[in-house]
Amino acid sequence: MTRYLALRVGQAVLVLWAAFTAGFVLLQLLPGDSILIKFQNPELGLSPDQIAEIRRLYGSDAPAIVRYVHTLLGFLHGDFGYSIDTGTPVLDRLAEGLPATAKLATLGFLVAVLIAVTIAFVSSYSRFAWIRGALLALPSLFVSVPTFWLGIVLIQVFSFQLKLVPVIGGTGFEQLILPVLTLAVPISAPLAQVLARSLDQVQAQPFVAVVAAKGASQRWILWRHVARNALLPTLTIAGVTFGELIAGSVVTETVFGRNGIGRLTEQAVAVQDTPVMLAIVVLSATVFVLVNLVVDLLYPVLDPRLAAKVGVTA
Amino acid sequence: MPRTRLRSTLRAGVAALATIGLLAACSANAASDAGDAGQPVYGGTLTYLEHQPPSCLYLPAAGFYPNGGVLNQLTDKLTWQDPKTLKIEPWIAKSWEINADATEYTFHLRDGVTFSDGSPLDAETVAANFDVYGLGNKELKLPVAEFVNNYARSEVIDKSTVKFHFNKPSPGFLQGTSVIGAGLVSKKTISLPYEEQCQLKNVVGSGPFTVANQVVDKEIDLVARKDYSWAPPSFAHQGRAYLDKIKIIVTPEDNVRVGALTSGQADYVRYVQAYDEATVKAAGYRIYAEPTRGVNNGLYLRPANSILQDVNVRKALQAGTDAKEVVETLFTDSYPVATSVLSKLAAGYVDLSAQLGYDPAKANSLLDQAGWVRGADGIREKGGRKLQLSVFVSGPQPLSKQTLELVAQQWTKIGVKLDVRQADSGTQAAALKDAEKTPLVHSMVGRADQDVIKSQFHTRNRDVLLSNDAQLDRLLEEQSALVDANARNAKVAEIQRYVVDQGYAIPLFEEPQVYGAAPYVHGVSFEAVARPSFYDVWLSKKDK
Amino acid sequence: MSLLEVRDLTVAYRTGNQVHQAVSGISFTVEPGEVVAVVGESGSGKSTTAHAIIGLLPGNGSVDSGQILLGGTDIAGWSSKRLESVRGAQIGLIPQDPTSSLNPVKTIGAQIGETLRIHKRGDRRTIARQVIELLTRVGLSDPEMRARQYPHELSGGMRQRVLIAGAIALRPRLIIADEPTSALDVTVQRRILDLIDDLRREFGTAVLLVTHDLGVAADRSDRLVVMRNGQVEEQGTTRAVLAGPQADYTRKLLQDAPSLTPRRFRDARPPAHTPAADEQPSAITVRDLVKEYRIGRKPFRAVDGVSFEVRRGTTHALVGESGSGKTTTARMIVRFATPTSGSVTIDGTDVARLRGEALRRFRRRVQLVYQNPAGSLDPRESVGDIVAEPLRNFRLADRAGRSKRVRELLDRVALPQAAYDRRPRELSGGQRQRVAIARALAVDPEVIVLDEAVSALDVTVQAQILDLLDGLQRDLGLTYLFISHDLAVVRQISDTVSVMRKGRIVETGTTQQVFHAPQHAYTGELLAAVPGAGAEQAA
Repeated sequence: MTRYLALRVGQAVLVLWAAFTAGFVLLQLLPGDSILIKFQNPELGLSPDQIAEIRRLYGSDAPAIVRYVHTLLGFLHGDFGYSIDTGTPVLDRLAEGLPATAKLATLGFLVAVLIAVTIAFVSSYSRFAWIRGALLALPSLFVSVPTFWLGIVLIQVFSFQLKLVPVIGGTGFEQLILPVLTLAVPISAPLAQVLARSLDQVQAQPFVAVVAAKGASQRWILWRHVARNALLPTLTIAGVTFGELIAGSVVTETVFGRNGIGRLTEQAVAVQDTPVMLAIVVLSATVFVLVNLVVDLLYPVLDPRLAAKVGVTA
Repeated sequence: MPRTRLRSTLRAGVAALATIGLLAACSANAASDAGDAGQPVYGGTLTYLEHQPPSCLYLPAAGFYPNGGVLNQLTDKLTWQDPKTLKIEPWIAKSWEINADATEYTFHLRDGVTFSDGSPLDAETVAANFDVYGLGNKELKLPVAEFVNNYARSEVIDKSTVKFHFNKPSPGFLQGTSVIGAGLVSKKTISLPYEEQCQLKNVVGSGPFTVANQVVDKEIDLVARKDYSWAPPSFAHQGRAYLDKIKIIVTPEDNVRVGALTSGQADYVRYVQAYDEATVKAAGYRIYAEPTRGVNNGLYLRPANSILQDVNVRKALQAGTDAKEVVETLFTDSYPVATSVLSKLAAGYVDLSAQLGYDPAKANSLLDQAGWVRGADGIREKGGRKLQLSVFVSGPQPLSKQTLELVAQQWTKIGVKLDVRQADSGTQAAALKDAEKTPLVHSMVGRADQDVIKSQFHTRNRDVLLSNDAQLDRLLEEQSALVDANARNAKVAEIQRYVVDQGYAIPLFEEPQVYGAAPYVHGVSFEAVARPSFYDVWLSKKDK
Repeated sequence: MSLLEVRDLTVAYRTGNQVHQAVSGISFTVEPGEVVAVVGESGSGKSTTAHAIIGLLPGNGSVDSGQILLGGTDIAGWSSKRLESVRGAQIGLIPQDPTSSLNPVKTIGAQIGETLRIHKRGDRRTIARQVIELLTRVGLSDPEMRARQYPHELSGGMRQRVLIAGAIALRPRLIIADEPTSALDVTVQRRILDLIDDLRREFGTAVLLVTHDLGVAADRSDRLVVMRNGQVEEQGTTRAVLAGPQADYTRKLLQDAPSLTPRRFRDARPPAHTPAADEQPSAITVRDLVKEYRIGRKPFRAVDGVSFEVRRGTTHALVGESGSGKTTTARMIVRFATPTSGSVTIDGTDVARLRGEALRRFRRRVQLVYQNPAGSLDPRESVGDIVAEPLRNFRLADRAGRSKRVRELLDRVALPQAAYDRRPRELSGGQRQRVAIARALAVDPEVIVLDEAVSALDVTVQAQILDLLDGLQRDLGLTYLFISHDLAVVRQISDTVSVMRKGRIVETGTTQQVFHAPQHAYTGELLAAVPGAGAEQAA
């Protein structure tokens, strides 16, 4: 087991390095650069000589490989450099944004799971075919709703028209309701679909009939047998869904004027703030790797058959 | 109330809304407080929605509009420019002398002014500020300021007297001391490196408000300085600001900002899109369309481009562009049609509307003369080359994409194809200095001084034309060195004529900053280029 | 009063507007302590009957009329909720497939104890103790450890024992055993059936045994209910039915069941006299064949030094239980797997050395027919396309020629010409297997490897396919390698037999020798486990 863990951690480090390198190379390939964008901004009225001077000061006239090594060493020491746009250390900007995004994303994910579970279970156990049909149509409806549009509609309806929750001001909790919903709904869709499908599949398994033959009630079968088996494929999707969570938070945070990593991303991309973008790439990769590591480690807990396989490789 | 009076007020002219200053104060109150008889009250919190989060707050680099809402409340300047008369009035400097050729400026400072960290605002601090603004500081990576030209050095005469020396005449400097970028910061702030000065927490000024709390990218809370007592002497209101607190909340989505205002969640918002103005007004809220008094929103044609090097082609495009249609189709009365390169309210403005009329027949004949013949697809050709130009959508300009697309439609009528390209800022920045990749640009500059025209066109400033025209540079430099205001205005008029005659500019409209505010928000005022000042603002709604 | 009386039971399935009556007005009884076998081929309605009794019909199935009297109470109309007190407590179920009938993520102990917990019999500790007792009772060693294990850690037979333990936990009066052993090897099958017998005797439980295997029914039941197309063809005491079947269908069933009506052994065929055969009498020669896999660090020999020879034009059977290495051996012979060592020679060609074009040519000469025809036939292609596929692959004949050849082949395997345009799902299991055989014949192979090719078929269909194979061999001079676990089938089709166990051949000989005078104890055990063997002797 420890060997398995060490292997996985090794893989994770490799993935992160690859993400860093790919990020660095891609950002190099973009036309223009942050210094050009920032200082050639007509509002500053700087001459090309002055811009060249600034570029020297930032060390961005050094050859790419030198900058690569320099940046990589910086990252290894936890120094992500300075945001060219705001001049703040990138680490500070991440530290400012991360808690808000983590809160939003976690709640968004939990609510998505809640919505997905509700849809999946109600549809799987609904006695009326039309309810089932309607509920299973919901996910495709959800997934085709653009986050941006959903956010605006939620704000218009619940905040501006019904005045139920403020978007401006309000308590921390009030400020979370609509963004969390906006983020959760599109993500809940694939989860609900996978969960509903695996519920159906598990329902059809012979062991379910065996449990029923022992005299178990519907509820007993559902909670003690079907749910846990249906969770496995859903868990895989949940790990993958994390990517959508990142993308969703960019839009959600912008629409709701929330601070966070998503907002930071949007701004950094707008002005090509290379150090910030690179740090975000590595941060996202880190979280992605961690989430998937957790998912992988959860599998054997949920499914003893996989525990055996993990044991074999160890 | 007040609907009709409000409308008539608006009709009376946007300038009236923005007035401040000793004489103007009464009229300003009369304008903005239309119908709300009553004494200003102290207290309350103003919720102000900003379109974008502040960027770097190093003052000379902080012209970005979202910074204005913050910085103008935090810092004071040496002088105050009356936005209506554009006259420079005393503020931190209670008086000043300028030598005959405008190479020496001596300022006498007000006593007892302190920064919010308790340090005094004295001659030494002012000298330190302007040494950085005038010369930059390479060690600290601090760039020089656009509004200071020919700066040589400072000289501290005594505790409250400071003198600035210039290498060449610098008549624009006095106005320069009144702009947002000339905000005075503590000695500690000005000696920080660029990255540090960029950050709000490090900006220590002497203004009527101080920062209480900041959530980066989301919210800035300002609180009134109780001991503030150095407003420009011309103001009717002296002492501390009326408001206790200002919550500046970043709300990027246009319709969220407007919706929050009209649903009572916010009091005051910046950047109301033209198409939202009616919604705001219909809800009983007020629109403040503030002129920016500078170079108009327009298209700027680059003579270095291989197609646009021909003055006839440039003139043809100018004649073939219908600015009136642009405004009527896309904008509102808040966006007056341009009548010159400069805004009607800019210093040295001259009315060139006669030269700028829409005349497609003239455009067609000019292009015929230039040898561009219509091809089968209606697009003109010359020597196998199509008369095709491209332009980038300009992020900061309101409805830039729609504007450019409409212009492109107009140009097809004269046989010119305009490709409207949307690109990220990196691509744009990389192509900006190449007249072939960027044959024309969509831009504007706001600054209430004659020098604004130099900022836009001079090869060592923004150089929007990538100019290869030595004569233009010479004219701009002459203007910049003229000390006499009348002579300077005359030169500015000459430059406007020259730019239009050469077909360098296709002015479209006078770009305003459009704000929306609730009816209970009084004392709304702006500085000369439409950045808000909250010093005079008070709320009649008790629960706010 | 009977323990169970089924009276005029009619069950129908509804799909959309279509109503399919699976069981049409059947009646039978089960007396306390008695074993009643419901026998029939697939689609006869026997499983539906069993499910209807315990109230576990699929969602679209319903009891349309009739009564199910359990101890005199009609439970046919009861809601699922109401039936909960009956299930597990009064009626237990032993399901068909032990691999998928246990929840993979719960421990054995939890799943056995569940029956007790559902019916609230005892606290945690009592239940835990009872679980151990039950595990011991169904013959599992080290019950404490087993209780903590998960299903995947147990073999098929052990899992079936676990399921039995779950079914008997509350000592129900009736156990429904739905094909309880059809997925198990014969020796395991016998032990499981013995266990059910023992428990029945011990607890006086009645058993409703649903099976397609007449042999099993003959050995184990007191009474027989023969079903066909949802109706009862015949019922009576097992002895009476076997001795004097009344219905034609029963007679046919008895005739086709290889274990009950052993056909004569094949006549030892004279070797074919062709020039090729004279020169090279042996079609397949396998020498010291070894296949080694690595699981973790220790190597595992799936095939361990196997040698045998198959004469041209004859059938050799490889017999063994699951895990014996017979399928791996077959895969190496057709070169779908590469041997670790040893040689396979087919018509003088060393198969292991073939590469590229030579391997391609070799594939023409040796064809493989699988157990599950549904899985090996592309559901989207028509039968014509499927049979023509090898012709296309080897570029034999043009379009018209292929079509002609396919029609010939359909005739050969006795499929109607109308089958040409059908899709596999429109055919029955036996027809599908005929398609697979036609496809194998398309390229005129010399050797056909049949991997459990008739195991999934009903007995009457099985008999037909075996006849077909026999005829084809005679006409075309084919050599068969017949892989099977079913000794009764092997006995009918093969000339020679190799018995495999744990990767080795324990005994080889002519079919007659091996069946009548087994040399190895394991062969004897296998033969004794064949269901119906007892009945044969009795008959």
